Amino acid sequence: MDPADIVKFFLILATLTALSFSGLWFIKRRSSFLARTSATNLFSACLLFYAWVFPISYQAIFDRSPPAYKPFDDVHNLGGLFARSQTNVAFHYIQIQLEDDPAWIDLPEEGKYSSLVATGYTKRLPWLLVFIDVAEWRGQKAFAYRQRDEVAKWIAARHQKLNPGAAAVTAVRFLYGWQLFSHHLPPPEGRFRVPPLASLEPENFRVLSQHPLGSVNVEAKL
Amino acid sequence: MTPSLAKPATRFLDFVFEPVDPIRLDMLRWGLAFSYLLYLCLWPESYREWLSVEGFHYTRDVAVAGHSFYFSPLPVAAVPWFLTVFMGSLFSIICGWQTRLMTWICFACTFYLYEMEPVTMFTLNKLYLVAFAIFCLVPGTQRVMTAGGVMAWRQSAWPLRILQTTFIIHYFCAGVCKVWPGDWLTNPDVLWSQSQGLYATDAAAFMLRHLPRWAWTVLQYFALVFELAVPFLFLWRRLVPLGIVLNLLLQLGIALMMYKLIYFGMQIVFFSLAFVDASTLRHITGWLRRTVPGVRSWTLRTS
Repeated sequence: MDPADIVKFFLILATLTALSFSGLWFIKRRSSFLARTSATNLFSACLLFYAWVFPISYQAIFDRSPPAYKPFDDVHNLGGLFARSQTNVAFHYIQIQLEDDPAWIDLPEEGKYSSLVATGYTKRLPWLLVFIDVAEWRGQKAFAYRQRDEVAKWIAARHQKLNPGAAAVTAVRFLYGWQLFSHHLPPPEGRFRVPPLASLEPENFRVLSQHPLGSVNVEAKL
Repeated sequence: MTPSLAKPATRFLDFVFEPVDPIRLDMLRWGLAFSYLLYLCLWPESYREWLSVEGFHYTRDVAVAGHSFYFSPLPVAAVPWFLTVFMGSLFSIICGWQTRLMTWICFACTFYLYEMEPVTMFTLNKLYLVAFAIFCLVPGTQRVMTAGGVMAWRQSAWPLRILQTTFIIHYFCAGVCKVWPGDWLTNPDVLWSQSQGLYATDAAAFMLRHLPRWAWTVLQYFALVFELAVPFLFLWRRLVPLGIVLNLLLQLGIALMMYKLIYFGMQIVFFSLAFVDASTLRHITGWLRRTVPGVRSWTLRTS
């Protein structure tokens, strides 16, 4: 985010707050309760109105943040979850290639790389990959690739730390798989679990990106 | 201001700044601190991945868009210290000890988390962020003589009004999004499809196997009608008890079917305390103090 945008936001917020505060101070005798409100109190109320109530209301009505509020776009976006039906559930797989072995293998002991359940039954690392996909769908392909590249380098470095002396990771790839829902298919037998990649039909997964790692890359900091 | 506009505007300002019983705000702060602490206690094995350089974190160059500040993760050795301060501040708020100072500490920690790791905390953290920002600026209480000639604590209503508005906008917008651009009105299978996937619990799977298709449609329209009716249910005083019960049922249903959303549900249920009649809350806290051992001494301390 451009620091100039953040400065602009705070300047506009300060101006709106100061104007409203002055206006309310000017008319405060018209309301008996307002007349008894201290200046600090009144200022805080104006500040929170423009920092929170105004942008969330604006975003709710126009489905975008007010122009100057872009730096805090995400904070002010409240609604919109689970708004549409879904025809499938999507999940991610991480595979690695080891030195002297061209085969792609699933990341062994994935829990040692990410054990935090971020949302639903999804661990933090796959959940980060979902956000990268969103950036890609919004047209930020190069940015998404760079984000995945950072994840790939970190996985390689973590692998080396967890398995000292073992074959190094020479490449990482990210795959995207999905399972369809239908009334014609049998309902789930239990809670959600990511199915093994081998159980998916070839048309139900694809490679998102592949990241070859040189020896220099593997030295990424942990 | 013209006379025709003056009266409604004055009534609105009176409504926003009128002195009210502080118990609703006290209980809301207590409830949010409690649910937040519970939520944080969930992740004891994952703190280091979440907060420290041991887990994956983006560099400044590719940090998640939409977040203005880049804060580095903590060194591994600093994690216990951070958690002690953060969880300690929440515990202090629950106990009513140094509430204002602890609220500022809690807000600072939440802001750090929100900007350092925006992906993991998601919506839950956003509501805590704003709620604790409001609690930081809450005006002090004053002892005043009420109309009935009784001395009572009073506080300007504006922080409560902001939190009430947040609750209503949050729910109502969720309902509107489901109607448009969502397809909850036109597709009777939305809830059925949402109950599968990443969040689906064993209970959801059981229901998917045994509930007829029409039952999912009924539940779907119940949820939609409730969300759209929230402004009426919570702004019309006589309907507030019904609103609170329906909110509780909806959040219980979500908690049952969607893994870990119980913490979001708890947060929303505590938010609805902002609408409960102050005298009812005084009765409840009074009864708790009298009957539950320990409560009198260190919890539910209200103004």
